Amino acid sequence: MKRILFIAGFLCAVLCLHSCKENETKYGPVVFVFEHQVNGTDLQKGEMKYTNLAGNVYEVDELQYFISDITLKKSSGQLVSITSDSAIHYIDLAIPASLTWNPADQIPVDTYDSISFIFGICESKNKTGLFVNPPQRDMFWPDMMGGGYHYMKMNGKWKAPGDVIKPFNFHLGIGMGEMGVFYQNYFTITLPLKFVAGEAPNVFNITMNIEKWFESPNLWDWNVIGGQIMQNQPAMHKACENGVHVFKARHHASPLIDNG
Amino acid sequence: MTNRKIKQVFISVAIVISLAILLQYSACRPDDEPVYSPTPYEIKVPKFFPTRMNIPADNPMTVEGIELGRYLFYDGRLSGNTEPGKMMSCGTCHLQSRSFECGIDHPRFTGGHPSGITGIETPHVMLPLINLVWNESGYFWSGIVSGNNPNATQRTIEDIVRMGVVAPHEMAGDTNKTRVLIQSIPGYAELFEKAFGSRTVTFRNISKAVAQFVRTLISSDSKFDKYMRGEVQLSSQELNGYVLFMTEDGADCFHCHGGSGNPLFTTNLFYNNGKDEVFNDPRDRFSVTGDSMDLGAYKATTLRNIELTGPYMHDGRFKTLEQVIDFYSQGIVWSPNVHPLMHHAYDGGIQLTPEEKKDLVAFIKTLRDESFLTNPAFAAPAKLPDGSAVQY
Repeated sequence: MKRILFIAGFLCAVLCLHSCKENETKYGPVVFVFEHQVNGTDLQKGEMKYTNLAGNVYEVDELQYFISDITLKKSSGQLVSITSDSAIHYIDLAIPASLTWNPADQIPVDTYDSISFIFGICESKNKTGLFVNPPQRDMFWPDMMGGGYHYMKMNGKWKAPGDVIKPFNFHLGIGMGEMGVFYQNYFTITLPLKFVAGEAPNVFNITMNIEKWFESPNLWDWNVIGGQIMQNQPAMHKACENGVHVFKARHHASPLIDNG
Repeated sequence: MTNRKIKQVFISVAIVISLAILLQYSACRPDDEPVYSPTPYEIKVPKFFPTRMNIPADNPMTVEGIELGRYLFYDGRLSGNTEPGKMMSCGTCHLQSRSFECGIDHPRFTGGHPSGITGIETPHVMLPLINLVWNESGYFWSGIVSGNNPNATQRTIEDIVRMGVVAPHEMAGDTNKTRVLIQSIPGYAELFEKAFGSRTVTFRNISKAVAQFVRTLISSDSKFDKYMRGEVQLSSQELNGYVLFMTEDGADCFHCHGGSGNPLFTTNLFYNNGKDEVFNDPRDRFSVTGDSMDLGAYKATTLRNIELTGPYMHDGRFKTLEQVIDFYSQGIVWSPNVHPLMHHAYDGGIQLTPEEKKDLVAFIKTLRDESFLTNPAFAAPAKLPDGSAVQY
């Protein structure tokens, strides 16, 4: 009898362990790759060859920006946040390493429906002194204009009437209104993205379609708005409304590298 | 003699020999040698300053290394010469009172443009030695000396020390001559031993010591620093200038020269600021990157102590701060290579009124750091290691 009880107990334990192992959540690493295109082709900086919807011929010379608080939404509705590096990533066309982000986070193997992130930095984090080292430090936004950091600096030139070349500084950050009112201006972008996350590195290509900054819902005409907008909150507001439509995302699994 | 006795004698002799060897070893053990144990030197990072520093892994800062570096920085025999009039040190041109530039009123270098021992002028005017421990973007106006340089002999301040000794427009010497001369000067061998564990002078260690000293040259106590720390107030004129400095619709200096969020008062990056239409300087930023956008671009200088570091721009074309402000206000020359941050370029400049110009100059003068200019730790030592006086 004792022997039967022992065998039964042993079998139960094995079954239980097996069951636990089956329920164990598996995870996969994530990699974010940032791409920049104009009208479907890779941006070539310094080339005066792009035309926006308003007819402005322009070039982009520098592009630097922050995205933060990336969140992946499972099909079940559960949210998975990327929290490494204070959940903030700096992208700079002049720094190739910044175009790929390998956060320490791992995401559960599961099916997902969307990806979202903040363009810029949310109010609770966007405080002067957050970054003391370059290159992020050099994004600082003057305290007297609200402080914190530029969300984006896109510097370039456009061809004004008479083929006059003028510089533009498409800079976004905290906006100043009247009577000392500040507008935070950061915004959340949510992109539908159905994918199955696996244990192999989950690569997310985040593509900025630069022309979209100038299209909808607000037609952007530098000849009307002017080249500088840091102290022009209505213009920054329009840019932020357009910015919601600027990005697209895709997911693919990267084959695991066997280092043997 | 019995076998037992022979054995006893043998054992006794063995013990005596062993003791003798032990004593001999004891007399030679490292404990009795001068021990190489330099004292680590930790840079105290001022409030708001970067926490990441540009210190090569093979040259950690030590108290002894810095002390030696200070002597070498001010010793005219670094040039390899001992004859009066032929000696030159770093301190010959890099004057503490002029923020470690030569200044426009230098008695030897007319108009503030230095020349070397042989009389050849340097290709560009000087840049100050301030806060270089936080410069990650390359040294010199073009940034050619940087960690990214494929030439491994042009990457660090240590390399610049060597370049200064051999350059025809500076000391025009050779490193071996300098090394031999420094080795022969009484007092230096001991200092090298304390700093680097060997009495033998090498040029590499000369470079390391000078570089360590240069990395201690930190300015963080100007009136503006005190204002940021809440210790003093700026005058209304200075505040007006500060607003101009920090606003895009004002003078918009901060994008390139830093400010409240970047107390180095430079991004250490490179910009074509609209001085010319034609670019043929073989030492501009383009010469380093090959990127046509960098034609005519140069490092944005720190504005700390800028009132003392004229003449201004890479070629020293402006003698006074007021001339510089006039240039940015009305004198900018448009070209396709002008950096887009120079957004007033097409209009010729930022178009400041005379009052605004005065305000801006007043603010910029709050970046004068008197404690840096008079810090005895940065000054020439009273005597050199052999007891001789400092001779430039």
